[in-house]
Amino acid sequence: MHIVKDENGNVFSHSHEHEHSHTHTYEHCHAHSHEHGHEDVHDHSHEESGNCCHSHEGDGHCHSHGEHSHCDGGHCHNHGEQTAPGNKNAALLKYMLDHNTHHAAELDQMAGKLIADGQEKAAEQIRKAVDEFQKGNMYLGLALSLLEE
Amino acid sequence: MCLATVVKVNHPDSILLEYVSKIEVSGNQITLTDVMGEQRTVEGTIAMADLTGGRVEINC
Repeated sequence: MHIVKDENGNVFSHSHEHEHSHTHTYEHCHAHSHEHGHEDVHDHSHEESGNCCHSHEGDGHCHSHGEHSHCDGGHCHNHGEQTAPGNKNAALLKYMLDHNTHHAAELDQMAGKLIADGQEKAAEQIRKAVDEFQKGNMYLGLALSLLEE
Repeated sequence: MCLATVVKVNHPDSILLEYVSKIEVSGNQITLTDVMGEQRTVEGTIAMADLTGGRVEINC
């Protein structure tokens, strides 16, 4: 398994179609992780249904979603794209996965700096932690794929 | 998680918005955006922002 990095040294997840199978056969002298991410962009709107109702602090009101703003009760709010409740978990999970990926990259960079500072043993432990991070992220990526199906 | 829960100052149970990823301030207008893209704008000032704890308190 290995960390996949772009030209700037940032760890990134590489995309696969949601339905796929693959095997990994390799020989290595050290363990490292292989991360799968599923990144896709989807746009959605609520233009079709037109209206939805929701309340803010007990004041219920109905309005359509699109490019509009309105003020009532002393506060104003705009609604851009609103995510359906079913996509909330997917949005949160994607955020967590991206966040974890970023932290794993930062830790990997820290390990590199520690090696440069002569702290090889500590760096080795951090690299092991990064591997575990990426293993966990792989499962999060799979979970995200299942949510997005 | 590093997203923030935004509440009214001195009213910790009055959650203005959860999972906030962005806060924009223009004068006394504070626009909160959550990770799903939903926005809420309130009038007030930021009283406290605990970035590691994920909590922001707003005077509004």
